[in-house]
Formats: sequence, structure tokens, C-alpha cells
Amino acid sequence: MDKRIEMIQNQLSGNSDFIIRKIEVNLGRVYLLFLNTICDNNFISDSIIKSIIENKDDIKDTEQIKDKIITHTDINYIYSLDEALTYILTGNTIIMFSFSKDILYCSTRKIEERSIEIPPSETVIKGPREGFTESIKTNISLIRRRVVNSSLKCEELLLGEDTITKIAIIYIEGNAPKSLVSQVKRRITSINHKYVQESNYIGECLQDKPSVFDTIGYTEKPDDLVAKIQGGKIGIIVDGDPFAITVPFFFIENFHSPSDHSLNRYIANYFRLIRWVGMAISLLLPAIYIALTTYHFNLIPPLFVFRLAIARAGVPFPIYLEILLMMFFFQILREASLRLPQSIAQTISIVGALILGDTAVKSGLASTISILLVALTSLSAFLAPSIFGSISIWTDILIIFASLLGLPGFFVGFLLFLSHIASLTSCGYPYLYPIGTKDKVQYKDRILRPKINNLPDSINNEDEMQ
Amino acid sequence: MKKKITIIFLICLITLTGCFGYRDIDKALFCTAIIIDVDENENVLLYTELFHSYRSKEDNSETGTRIVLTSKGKTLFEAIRDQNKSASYKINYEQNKVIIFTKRAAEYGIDNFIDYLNRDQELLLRQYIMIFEGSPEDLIKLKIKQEEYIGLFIYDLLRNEITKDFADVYQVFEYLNDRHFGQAISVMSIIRIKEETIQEDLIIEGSGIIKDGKMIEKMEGKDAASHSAIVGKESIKIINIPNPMNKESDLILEMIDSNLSINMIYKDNQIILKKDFDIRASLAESQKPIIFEDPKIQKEVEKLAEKEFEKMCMETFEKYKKKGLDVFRIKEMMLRKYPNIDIENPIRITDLKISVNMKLEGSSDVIGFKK
Repeated sequence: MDKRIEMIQNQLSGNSDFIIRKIEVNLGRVYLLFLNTICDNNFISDSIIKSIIENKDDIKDTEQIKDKIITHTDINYIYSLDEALTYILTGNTIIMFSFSKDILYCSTRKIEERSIEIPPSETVIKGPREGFTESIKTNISLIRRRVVNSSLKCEELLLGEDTITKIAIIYIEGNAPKSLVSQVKRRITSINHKYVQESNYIGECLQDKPSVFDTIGYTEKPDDLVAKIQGGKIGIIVDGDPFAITVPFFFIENFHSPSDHSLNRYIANYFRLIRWVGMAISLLLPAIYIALTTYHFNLIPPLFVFRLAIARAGVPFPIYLEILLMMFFFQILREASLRLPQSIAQTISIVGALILGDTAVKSGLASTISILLVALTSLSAFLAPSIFGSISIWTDILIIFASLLGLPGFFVGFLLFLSHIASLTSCGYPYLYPIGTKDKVQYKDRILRPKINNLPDSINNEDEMQ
Repeated sequence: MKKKITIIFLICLITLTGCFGYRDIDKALFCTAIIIDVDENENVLLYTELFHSYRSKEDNSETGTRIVLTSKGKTLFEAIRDQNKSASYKINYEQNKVIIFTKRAAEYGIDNFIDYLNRDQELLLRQYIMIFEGSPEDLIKLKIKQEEYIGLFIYDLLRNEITKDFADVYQVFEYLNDRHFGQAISVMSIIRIKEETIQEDLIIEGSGIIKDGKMIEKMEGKDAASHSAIVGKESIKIINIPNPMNKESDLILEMIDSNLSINMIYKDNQIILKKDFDIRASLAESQKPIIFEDPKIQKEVEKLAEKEFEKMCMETFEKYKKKGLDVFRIKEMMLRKYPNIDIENPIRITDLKISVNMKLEGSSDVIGFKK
């Protein structure tokens, strides 16, 4: 056997799906090397093996095989064995010859894929329902279907020494600031992970600063990604992950919903405001409650003071501990519901919400008002699911501040929260935009959605801000 | 730098706790009313009405109850300290609504207690103060059907818009101001237990005149309303005039809104105090028929009402002018307008000129009343 084939065989020894197919032709032997688990075996049989066998007596050179015998759009020469190995591992078929040193590759990749489904993390009331899949090819096709424009650029990169993961950087030339494009490319190419399994491997490297807040956006919906790249942002798709990254990402976007553009403007804005109020409730309410019920009784109406005092009578723990404990219980419940199969998760939710809450009150472990508060806080946090975790952590921090010094403590904690999110940047853009940034910023889809004919707008002239 | 600022914040947060203290809401006894009395030996007798929450051992449920604590001390502070000896939790005064001085305590001198009421951080300046005519034991034992807590009942009573017509609603901060202005005269409502009804109740009846911290006399209910109107706190709300179409029957007018503009002129050792009232009123009740649509009748009603309003104010003013009691804050007004002129008792040289512009705005429902 050819020494080159032996070398590849040695490299891929121990792989039962590695196939070497020999075909006798008039000039000698043709070898096909491929991994049958990630290749289209029917295509190899019908379009490569069959074509070669049918022409086995008339073969003159490898050029003839490439151009006239194998009828495939993606077939070409490669020039090293390392390259050949990579091509085999990524689902291509390598064609080698005993009568020539040329090596051909033919794209025969076929991996079983999930069909396009409704994205479970971003359900919409109205609007497109299709979601990304794990296939980068399918995902790019979903975007191309929506943007029929030569300015749409889709640059592919390979990342991960051992995974050789395909990454696509997608943007609209002219809309996306050039400096942003070059910055993103520079940062992505500087990633030297051995493994790149999913989008967060890229996402973490694009975070400007460590924080519980994600300063990069994730979306499972092609229409959402398209809306963002039309606004001058950059989308990044990672092969094997249905979540696409969008940069820059602003704090206000946590309160946007993909269906905002599909719904009546006023209704969409009403729901957006509710999401903001929900965030405020989940972040501030427990801390304010603790501050008022432990330090500032005079700020509560008298009858409510009495109701609160009665509700808490007999609870053995201090209020702050009671609230933290109940919020911890809720997090346990949430984690349990999330990790278990959906059918069991529903049961767990019922058991948790009804039995745990009720018995906590009856056993004197918590007061009814605390249960109500924790339930309201947690429900409100779910209105902006992308920052659920971050807000939960900051809620706990504010609770600690409020329990240390009442309202002054609460205000100090809240100022720390504001200064923290104000200090964050997303690829150089202020995360807290438009709050605290200059008026020249043009991106108009802020707290309230503008009219559709004012969309899409662009972040293009924010370049000066960087 | 940011880390340093954060560390400084945290250190401040932990160390600069000052007078604040963590206290769970159920671990406090909330005071709703304080009654201050004095005995023959001038000891302070303190009665406090408290709210206490607890978990009942009988039915394992949370509940709240009214507690009354009494104590005695040489000073108010001593009495309060003494009271805490029998309290399961620290008494919290932040929810206290009213401070009631018995007539005896008011005559003994409110100034003997006011320092602590002002100095203590939990006792807020927005609490109402008033005088009680009667025995404090009777008041604290009184069972009012409308509200279990006397403090909350009085709080609601004083905030009731209609009650304001008869009451001199007075708060701690107002007293603290008034004792430094003019003749240091304050006027605050008096309450008493109304025993002449089927069910015992509390009623506001007149006001107490406090001069230099001591109650010197009682102002009658009808004077209290005129007094409120002259000082611009509240207008007289009801005017009773004879029906122009039947002089023997009454016509009741209800004041909807009033504006008061005040002007003071000091000339030739004489003070002219002008009070111009602009009043909108409506017909509340007519005992005998009246053709209210008739502009002539309306004009006549307006004239009669203006006269009656003026008469009520003038009578009250002249009464206190004679006594030399500056309950209308004339000295304070003089000092504001003429800071270099110091007149010992300006009410004695003051002439009140009342001008009333009454505008009738129909009736609350029916336009006329015909037989």
C-alpha cells in the first residue's frame, strides 16, 4: 500500500468507521478514504465509486477524474497529508492514487441534523417561528433567505485545534461599523482553545470584562439575528450550536422580545414597560421590603404595619434570613424543574409551589407575605429571562446591603449596581446605552419601539464613541 | 480606584450604623396613641395604647392585640423608661398617631413635655396633638365601635374633610413653630367622650388656647370655625341664613371653595388687618320653598350669606381682641411685615376689615324647591 495511505491509516487507527475503498483502474489503484459515519455513503457509492468504475479503462490522469468523471461542485486538490487528515475528519472523502502523488478531496459530509423547529427559549405570540439548528449551513441559509443583498457578508473561520469548528461571522457591509468588524475578527482569531464546542466558547472571549451580565447577545431566531445585523450589529454562528451571538449587546435589549416587531407598536411597548417594571420588582422589592420592615416602620402605612407584624408573628428567623432562605428554596425548585424531564418537572413545580409554600407558612418557617414577595420577585425576574441569573445575584446583594443598614444600605447597593452596569462595555460600546451616553448615538430601538418605518436603524455612527 | 471606593462604601456601611438598629417588624410593640396626664404631685402619668402581634398557642395562628401600658415618672422620659419595664419588646413610637394631653396636663404646661417629644427620634413631628377633657382612664378604656384603636380613630377623625370644619387640626411641628412666634399662642382641638348618645363615642368640641405652653382657656366650637377661617387654615363650611322668601325658615349654604387674601397696614399706631374672602358656595338645604333660579333671590342670598360670614368672623375677633389674646397670629404677621416695629400686644390696636365675595353656584341636586 502507498506509504501516504499507511500514514493516514496509522493516524486514524482504532476508528471503526474509517474506510479505505480500493478501486482497480487501468493506470493502477484509486483509494477512497473517508469516515462512513459522517459521510453520505450513497453519494460516495453513486457519484464517486460508480463513476470511477464505469470509466476504469479510460482514465488518463487525475485531472480527468476531477473534472470529467466525478460530477461534484466541491472537489479539488489538496497538498499535504495533514490537510488530508483534517478533510477526512470533517466529513470529506479523500481520493488518492497509486499512479500519481495528487490528492483530491470531495465534499461528502452528511451528518444527521435536527429539523428546523420552534426555538424553545424564545417563543413568540406572533411572528416567524423557525429557529436555528445545530447545522451552520442550515443556519446561514435561514439568514440568506431573509437578506437578499450582496452586502451581506458571511466570513467563515475554523477554530479549535481538536474540534476544527466552523464559525461564521455575519454582517451587512455598510451597516456594520468597519472598526467593529475588524475588532470582532481580531478577537475571534486570537482564540486558541483546543476545543470550541459551542457559541459560549466564543462569547466568553468577546466579553470585555468579567460580570454576571452577558455583554453579548444570544439568539435562537434567524429573524431576530437578521434584525440585529440590519442594525449594524455582527452575528456569529458556531457550527454545532443553535444559539447565534450578536455583538454589541446593550442592557436594554434584555427587555426586547423577538415578537416586538410583529405586534402592534403600542401593545409591544406596553409589554416592554411591564418587563422593565418586572426587572425593577425582582431587583428592588425584596431589599426595599427588608429595609422598611426592619429599619423604617414609619414609612409604612399603619394598618399595613400591623398586617405585616401579624403575618410574621412566630417566624423564628430574622426577615432577611427568611427571604434569603425562601429565595434559595425557589432557586432549588427552579433548578430541579429545569434539569428534570418536562413531564416530571411540571409535577415538581406543583409540589414546590403549592406544598412547599403552604407548609413553609404552616410550619412557621416563613410568613405569607414573604412567600408572596418571593413568588412575585421570581415571577417578575422571568419577564426578562436572559438576565434572570444576573438579577437574582444582585437581588441577594441588595438584600444583604438593606439588612445591614436599611434604606441607606439599599441605596448604596443600588448605586453599586448602577455603577457596575454603567462600567460595562460590549465590544467597546457602552452596555448601559442609551442611559449615560451621548445623544449622537443613533440606535433608536431603545426602551420603546419606534415605528416600523424608522427601523432598522444603525449603530454605525457610534464609531466615535469607542 | 473603584475598588478603594467600594471598600470605603462597605466600611461606612458596616461602621456608620449610628442610631439605626435592625429590628424585625414583629419584634416591636407599636404605639398608636400616647395620653399624658399629671397627678397632684406633678408626676407624669403616661398611658400608651399599643399594638402587639403574636402567634396564638391555642389555634396556632398569627394575630394582633391591643395593649395598654401605664407608667409614672418625674418626667416624661422617666415615665417612658418605666413603661418599657413591662413591655415584652421595645416600644416603637414611629407609628404613633396622636399625643393627647389631658386638660390637667395642658394646664400644668405642655412645655414640660415637649422637649422629649421633639428630641426623641422615633416620635415624629407629624403626630397630631390635642387636649382631652375628662379622665384618661375613661378614654383608654373607651370601646369605640368604629375602630379598635383610639389613636387610629382620632387619626382618621382629624383627616376627615368634614371634621376639619369644626377642629383645629394641630401637629407637633406646628406647636414647635408657634411657641416661638408672636405671643406664643397655639390653638388645638379638644376632645371629650360623648356620653349623651346610645353608644359612647369621641367628639371634637372646641379648642384649647395654649399660651406660653399652658392652656389658659377654651374656645367654643363656633368660634373655632371662625378662628380657622380668619387664620386661613380652613373656611367656615356651613352658613345658616334666613330664607329670603320666608324669613322664619332657614336656608343652609355649604361653602365649596374659598380663597383668602390678607393685607396688613400699620399706620398712626393702628393696625388695619384686611381679610378678603372669595367664596364659592352652593345651596345645601332650604326649609321652605325658594325660587332659586330667580337672579334677584340669588343675589339676596349671596348678600345675606356675606353678611353672616362677616358677622361670625367679627364676633370671634372682637371677643379675643377684648381679652387681648392674639389667637389670630397678628404679632407674627406684624413681625414679618414690619420687623423693626415691636408692639407688645398688637391685637389691641387692630381693626379687622372683612370683605366677602360670595358666589352661589347653584344647588347640589335640584335647582329649585317649589311647593
